[in-house]
Amino acid sequence: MIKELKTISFYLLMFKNIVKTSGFSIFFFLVLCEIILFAILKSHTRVEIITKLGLSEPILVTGFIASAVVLTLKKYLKKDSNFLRSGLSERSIQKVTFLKFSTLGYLIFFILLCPALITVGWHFVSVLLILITLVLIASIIPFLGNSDSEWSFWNKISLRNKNWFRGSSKIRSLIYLNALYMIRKNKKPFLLSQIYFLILTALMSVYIKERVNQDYLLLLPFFPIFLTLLTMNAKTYLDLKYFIFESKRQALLADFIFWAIYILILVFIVLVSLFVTGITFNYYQLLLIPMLYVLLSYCLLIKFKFLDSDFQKAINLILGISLPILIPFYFISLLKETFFGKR
Amino acid sequence: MVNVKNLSVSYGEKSVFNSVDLEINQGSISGLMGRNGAGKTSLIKAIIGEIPYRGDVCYDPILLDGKKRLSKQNLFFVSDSPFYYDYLTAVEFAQFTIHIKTGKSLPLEQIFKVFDFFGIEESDSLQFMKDYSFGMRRKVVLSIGFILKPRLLILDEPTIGLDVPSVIALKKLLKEYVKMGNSVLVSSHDPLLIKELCQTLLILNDQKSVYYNKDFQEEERDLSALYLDLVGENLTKKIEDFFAHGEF
Repeated sequence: MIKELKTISFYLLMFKNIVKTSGFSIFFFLVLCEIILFAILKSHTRVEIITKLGLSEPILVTGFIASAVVLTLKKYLKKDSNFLRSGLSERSIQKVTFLKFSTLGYLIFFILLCPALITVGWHFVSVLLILITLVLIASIIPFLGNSDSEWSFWNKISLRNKNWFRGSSKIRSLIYLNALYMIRKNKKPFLLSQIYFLILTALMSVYIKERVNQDYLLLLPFFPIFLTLLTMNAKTYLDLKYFIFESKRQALLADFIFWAIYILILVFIVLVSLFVTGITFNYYQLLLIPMLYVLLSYCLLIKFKFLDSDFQKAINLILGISLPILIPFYFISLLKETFFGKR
Repeated sequence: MVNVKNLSVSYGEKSVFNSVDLEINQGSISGLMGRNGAGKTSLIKAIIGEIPYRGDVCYDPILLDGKKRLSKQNLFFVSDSPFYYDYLTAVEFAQFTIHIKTGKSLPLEQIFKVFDFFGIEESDSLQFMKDYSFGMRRKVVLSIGFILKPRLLILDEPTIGLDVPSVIALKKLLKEYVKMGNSVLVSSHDPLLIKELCQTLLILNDQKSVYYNKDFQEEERDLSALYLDLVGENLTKKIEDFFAHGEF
């Protein structure tokens, strides 16, 4: 009985924590956006939109939003672990965290799915694919671990070379600082964003394979990952003001160079993957637009002083801004497809 | 080294202090005292050009760079809660700061030598800064200050969090440091520290400042009494009044 009570109080605490977050309001905002968009779509077309592959677009969008919301809320969900820490083993905490993420993932997914089911119908394969994605995300998060000791191997490697900051270039030192912080402090959000990126890119690749002039959709997964990466070490650079006032611009430049190089590597991997799988696409878009994204994201971050916010606030803001931009973008392509046909 | 005349700082409409004069001489230690909120940190920030001010702050040409701006290479400020990178080790933080400020890297032995002087062992210096105690972090930042050898070293409450051997080491080091022609500005609430180290003293108090430029070693009065005399506060009466009604 005590165990059940503890479980109930745990879920109540979890619910309270989620309701208190700004991520929760963003979630409601997104649900509202989605309902409006589906309503517009329904009133403007009578064509039932289900692709040849069975990947229904609304369900794809729903999965995308659900994943984003789960990732946004992960920090708040993890807070509850302290509640259990006294009485449970690390393994049990991981299991509970897995359960939390799965439950929340499914809940968000089904709520978001309602407008899609009412307006345009659904497909079993699509639902299954999205559920697998959510389970994957849910299962990976808790097993990434909670303490630094689990990553001490990487820390030891990075500690082996004692003099990272040498030579004539200050920019190089700042890039090393970025790399060290990514390895030592931000490895979890970094890995999560990579998984998120790979899943979305894979889904988008399957989606564009059967369509004409929609290659640009492959660029969509880049957008959230750019913003996540750019805000990842923002505080590190902002803190430079404490002892080197004149180097803030250099620091921002170093950060930009670091992530731009990283994005180019990602683009290269996507290019090779597409080449191997035989999917046709526009090379220029895939090479140029990600870089423009980086630049634009950086300008936005600096202009709106997101660098002054802490990491999570920035991510919330970014998801709140980027997703409502992405969804209409996505739906324009659907409307185009509805009226101008498929490949 | 630095000549401050008629300096005033305000945040919006709120004035922090007005018409402050101060001289930081080459090869000397200047003291800065004052009540909490009197504007000590604001004065330091104004001197290093971090916040806007009214009045004149003249620097020795040795503190200026090629573009006649205050050279950050020749200046190091250790605040009462100094900034540090939590996921860098002490030695990495030192290397990073030195490289960013000077564009050069120093041999590890040189860094370890100063660390050792403050009681930071080589094995300790390979821990992340976040795992250190408050005092250890302060020792690391103070060590970096002395490794950099700036012409002007500014210390805000330098002894807070330090153990007794480190305080003794710091005092000795500061005395030797100014003999090399460098200057130090020390902000502290500790009258004994100020009396022992400083040649000049500025006391900020309720927008009224007093600059005391005599040698403190010749002063017969206790610095606490001198401080109260200078700011014109009768603390003895205040204490007597406080206990007079027997309500405490």
